[in-house]
Amino acid sequence: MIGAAQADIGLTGLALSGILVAVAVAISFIRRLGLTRDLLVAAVRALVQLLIVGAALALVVDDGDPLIWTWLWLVVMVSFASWTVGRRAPEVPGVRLLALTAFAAAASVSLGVLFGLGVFEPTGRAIIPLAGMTVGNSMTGTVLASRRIVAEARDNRHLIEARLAVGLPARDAFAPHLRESLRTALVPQIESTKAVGIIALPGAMTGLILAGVDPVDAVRVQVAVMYLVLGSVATSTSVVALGLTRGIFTADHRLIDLGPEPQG
Amino acid sequence: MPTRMASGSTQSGRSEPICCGRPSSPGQQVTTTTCSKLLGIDYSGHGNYNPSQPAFPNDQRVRQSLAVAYDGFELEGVSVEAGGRTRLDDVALSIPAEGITVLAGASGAGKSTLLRLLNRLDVPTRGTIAWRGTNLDDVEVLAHRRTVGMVFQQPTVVPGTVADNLRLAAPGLTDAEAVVLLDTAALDTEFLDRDASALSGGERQRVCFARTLATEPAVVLADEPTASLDPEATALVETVVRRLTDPGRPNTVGWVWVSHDRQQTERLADRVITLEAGRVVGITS
Repeated sequence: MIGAAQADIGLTGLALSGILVAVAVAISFIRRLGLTRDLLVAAVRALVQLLIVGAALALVVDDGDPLIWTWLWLVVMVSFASWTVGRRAPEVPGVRLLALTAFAAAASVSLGVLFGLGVFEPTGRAIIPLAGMTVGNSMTGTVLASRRIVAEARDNRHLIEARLAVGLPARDAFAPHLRESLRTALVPQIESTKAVGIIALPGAMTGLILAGVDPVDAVRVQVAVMYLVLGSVATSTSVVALGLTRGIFTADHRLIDLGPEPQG
Repeated sequence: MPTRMASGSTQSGRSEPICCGRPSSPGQQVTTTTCSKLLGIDYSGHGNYNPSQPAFPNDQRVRQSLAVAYDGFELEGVSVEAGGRTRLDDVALSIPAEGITVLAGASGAGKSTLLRLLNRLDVPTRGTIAWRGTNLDDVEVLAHRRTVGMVFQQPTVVPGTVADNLRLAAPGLTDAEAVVLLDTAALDTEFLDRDASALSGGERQRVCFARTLATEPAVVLADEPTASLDPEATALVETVVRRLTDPGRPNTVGWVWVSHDRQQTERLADRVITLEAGRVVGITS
């Protein structure tokens, strides 16, 4: 059960936690890091954004609210994430549409399993945070995988074309590089899953414990969330890999011009 | 040098005369004398017309009247524009599938661009390219790339042993067949199990030749394959190439060889096509 006294830190608590921002600002000032303004902007921006999201969530997570608002929220979330991927990986051809497909696939598979098998009740209160975890982590994986796939193709054009030149289809000619790209995208997620609980307590579990939930119950939820994230990242990167392999090769097995290596 | 005929290799050694139509099987001979008598066409202006060696576009008209596919590449109005530059400009050309045709010219003349078009690694912005009478837009590209092999300037081996590299091109290759390929490329049997990436540049390039030959191509496109090799390795590669065009061999291979080395061109070329700023400026035999 959630202990209300522990969950609600109040405005005073929120203000006092701001002392830690002041500590960071002080360090930046004393060490002349030139990050003072960035730190303040980041802290204020996070507060404002989360307050808006919190207010909006309050409208859709009540058990009495119709689920249509939840699904609309999800659509907005997926669209915004796709747009963000396009901004972060501009060198990847058709990445926005690809990301949109990947997130939709990841959400369908992961949420389908969790809600379809009755692990969680399909309420706004469960769907939105879980979809947020799915899309957020898939977004990181998608950016990583798509940029890696394009970089592999650009850097190894000579090897890929050597395979194409002996009559291998594009899929086979690119297979070793695709494997490497997917490994690069998935390994960080696997490593963080392995290290969980030893090096750091994950966010969802920490939040639940702070909110007064029994730690063992919190662990069960956290493990389900981690598996959700792992499944989502694997699904979204696979969709990206499949789509991008088609995108960077023509129907007659030619590797398209991927332009110069992006700066930065 | 044996004449590679209209639609096939000389592997079978057959020389079965045909007339007024495409050869129905590899190795069939086109006897233009008989054809000309039947059609009443005067070939006196073309000398002994040989469909495998028309150097000028005019010959295409004659071949069309005979409905015989040219054994080689035919380019019509081919232009390539890329990166804001015209790399090939309205090129019309016939390149036979026999002997060694050297594409000569300075850097940036369009030689490599032309070669990549022939292997369908790139497509022209305008114009058409035909291989043995079929537009490359209509060929089955994977089969085409096995018939028209390509060796690149940088000796590019894939990770693994030399045998792995050969089996990339021919998965069912036996060790005995692999040894024959190595021998053709002047490499000893012991190379078969060696790590391909640990070989010298010259050895790697000969592995690339052997790998390309594993698909039994009719023509090999070679993009300055000795540019990064020392003189000794270059000489060895040239020996291999000469050996493969030897008329005494059962399976001769035609070469389209890009070079900007004038001496190498003189040593190797049966005919030279010179490019300058994306245009053909000379054809000599």
